[in-house]
Amino acid sequence: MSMYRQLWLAIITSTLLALLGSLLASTLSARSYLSEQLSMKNADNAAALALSLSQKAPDAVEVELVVSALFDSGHYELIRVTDPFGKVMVERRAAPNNNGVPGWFSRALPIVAESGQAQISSGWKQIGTIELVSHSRFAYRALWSSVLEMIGALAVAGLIGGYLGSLVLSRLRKPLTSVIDQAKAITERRFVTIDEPRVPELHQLAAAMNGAVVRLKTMFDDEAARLEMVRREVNCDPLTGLANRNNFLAQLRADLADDESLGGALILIRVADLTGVNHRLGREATDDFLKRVGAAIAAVVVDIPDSLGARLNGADYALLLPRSKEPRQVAEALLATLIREGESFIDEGPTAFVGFGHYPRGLDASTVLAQVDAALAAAESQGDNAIHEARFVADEETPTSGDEWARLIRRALDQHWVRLISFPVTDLAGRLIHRECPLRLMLDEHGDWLPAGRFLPMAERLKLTPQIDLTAVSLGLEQLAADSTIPGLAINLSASSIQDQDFRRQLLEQLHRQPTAASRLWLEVAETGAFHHFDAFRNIVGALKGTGCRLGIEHFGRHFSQIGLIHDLGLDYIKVDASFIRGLDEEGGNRNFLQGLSIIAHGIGLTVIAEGVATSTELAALSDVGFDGATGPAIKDAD
Amino acid sequence: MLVALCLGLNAAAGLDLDRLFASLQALGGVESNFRDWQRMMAGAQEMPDVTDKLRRVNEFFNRRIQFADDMEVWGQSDYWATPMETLAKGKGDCEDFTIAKYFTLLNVGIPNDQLRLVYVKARIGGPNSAIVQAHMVLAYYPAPNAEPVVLDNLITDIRPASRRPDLTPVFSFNSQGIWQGAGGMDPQGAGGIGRLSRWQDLLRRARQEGFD
Repeated sequence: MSMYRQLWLAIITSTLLALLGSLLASTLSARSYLSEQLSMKNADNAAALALSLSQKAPDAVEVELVVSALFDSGHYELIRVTDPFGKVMVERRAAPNNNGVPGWFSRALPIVAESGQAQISSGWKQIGTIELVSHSRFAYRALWSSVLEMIGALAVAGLIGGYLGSLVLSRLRKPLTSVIDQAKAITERRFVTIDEPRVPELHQLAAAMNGAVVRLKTMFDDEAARLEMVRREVNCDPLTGLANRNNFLAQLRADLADDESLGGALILIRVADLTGVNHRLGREATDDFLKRVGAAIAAVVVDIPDSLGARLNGADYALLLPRSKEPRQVAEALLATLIREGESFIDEGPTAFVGFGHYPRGLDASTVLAQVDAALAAAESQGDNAIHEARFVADEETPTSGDEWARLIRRALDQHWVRLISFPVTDLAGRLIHRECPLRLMLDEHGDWLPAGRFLPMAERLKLTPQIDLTAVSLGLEQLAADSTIPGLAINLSASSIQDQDFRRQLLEQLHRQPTAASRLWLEVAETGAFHHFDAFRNIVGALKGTGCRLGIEHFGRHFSQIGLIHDLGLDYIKVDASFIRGLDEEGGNRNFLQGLSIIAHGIGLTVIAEGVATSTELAALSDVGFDGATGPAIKDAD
Repeated sequence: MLVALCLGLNAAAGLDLDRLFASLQALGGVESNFRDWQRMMAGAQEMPDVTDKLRRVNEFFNRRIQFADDMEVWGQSDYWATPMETLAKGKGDCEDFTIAKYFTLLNVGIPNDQLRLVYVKARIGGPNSAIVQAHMVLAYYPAPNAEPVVLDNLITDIRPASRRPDLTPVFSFNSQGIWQGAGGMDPQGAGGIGRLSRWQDLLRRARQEGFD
């Protein structure tokens, strides 16, 4: 029985007991009062009658007359006169009649009164003995009505007592529920704090739990801050704070290898006369200049999601814009900024040279770097602040205008020219955790299946991702329902979908329709989308909590410092971005960072999965840093 | 022998002599008075003739108890003393004589329904005197419809009522049919009805002294 119900029962029982007890006590005392009053009246009336008869030397007729007169004018049950030998001289007895109260009541609470007795004499002569019993119906009636009144009054008191009791209970219940919810949340590894209730005992409990949660949070935050430093040291250029060469190369390779990528843009920047600046203005000014260039690149990166700025070596910088197709504008704006920044450092001659190019998916990193580097060299050879573009061969026909894309994507969805492909995600012992299922889409009947990277960026821009994601989810649920041997399927939700109210509603409907399949569905959002639209992400995670599907973040890592934000969401897993995994087996890689990351993630109940594991040595290194699972080219299906 | 006598008396009359004696001592009474009373009762009880019993008891009290006003003895205008109180003080008024005789006679074997305490008007100072005062005597009825004899403290020998023209009876009573309070509870206690009548009060106090 719940504590609340027990409290209720205790209140009701004690109120009832108190009321019944006082009812009983007052009824019994009223009864004894009434019966004593009645006995006294009997005695007094008998004495008065005897006294009055004794004064007049009565004969038998007179005795009878006086007795009758008294009986007829008063409230008596019995008046009897017996002579000194015990023979009845006169007897007047009232016919038994209804005394106006229920029979059970007078049987349960009889009012017993002694009869009154007195002697009549005439002179020295004894005439007889009077016995007199007053009628008790008035006493019964008084007792009955007093009981009824008591019951009424006590019922009112009971109701008021019950009402006050329920007020107190509801005052207790609210803080109790919130403490219980907090405890539940903590078992689900959602570390939430609650308002501390004013009830002292609960206040202490809630304060203790809040304290524990806050300490845990602080611990996480400290650990996260420390790891962020480690990450920076390994991945960042110490002077400018941009990514270093290794980090840059890892990300470029990851983007090129990513099945969903559709290529991107690479911009290389070379500061023109660094030696001259160093010579003229000294080392400090040179560092200052380099920092300013870095800041200009960082300013560009802030505005473009997923972009990366890096300092490759002395005077060379790079800007990686995955998915971007129009790098020229960015490159020109950047060059203009650099010229402005460089004014105080450069007397004459060029400030910087820029080479850029748009690379398709699937090339290898050194080719891309070599080509853009060639473009940079070409720009450099022009002598001025020049920009030069590297031309890669575009090997696929793609629609050109946005309208055309929209039409083709809609048609593909209508015609069901969609399918899920899948890659295994296994634990480190090679057992399948789930299969990650990106959507492929066919733009015309004979066309190739386009990877997500080809159409998703355009679909994002055209706000078509909700339909695409819903299609992917329904395909996933179908497969799960059809084949119960699949442990799970992971479907990607895009950033613009999670902000869409309709999408959220329809997704929930779908999941509620197929609860068993939904319990094996894994839904993930890319880190960029999740953190840029954190409120939307938080909302959808909260809404999906009851559906049974698992929720996670993919491509995790670059926003690691914000891991504190997700500790109270109750997520199930993260997939760590491939760029952190790349080269894990080599010296000086991200080993320390990933080790700390997995400790923190495990602390808040997350399963940690590595993305883009390319080699068996990388896979082997994952267990050292405490990862739970892996996916990537090196992960093959068991069969 | 005295012990055997006491035991016999105790068994016959339902008296608690120890308690009675303790009550008397608490009231400051002299032991010899109590023992005399006890011996007198034992003697009276043995007597076969009712008239002898009556005379013995009547004489005992008329001789031993000195007439005195309630105001003098008890400091209040009208106080009904129990037999032990009267015996302890050695003084009493007409009610006290009557009460003491009544209780004693009950305990030497006179049935209650033959005894009456009678309020009487008493003419004092000869047949033609005009002085009348309220008085109480004890009447003994040999038969329910017979003429009673009167035990009085003014005229100390027992006479039939017809030979007592100075007395006019007004009202008579005894302890028969007297309601003595619910279950004998303390009349001042919870649920009680406050004061009992004077007669009820006396019966209660006598019971407490040891007259059962």
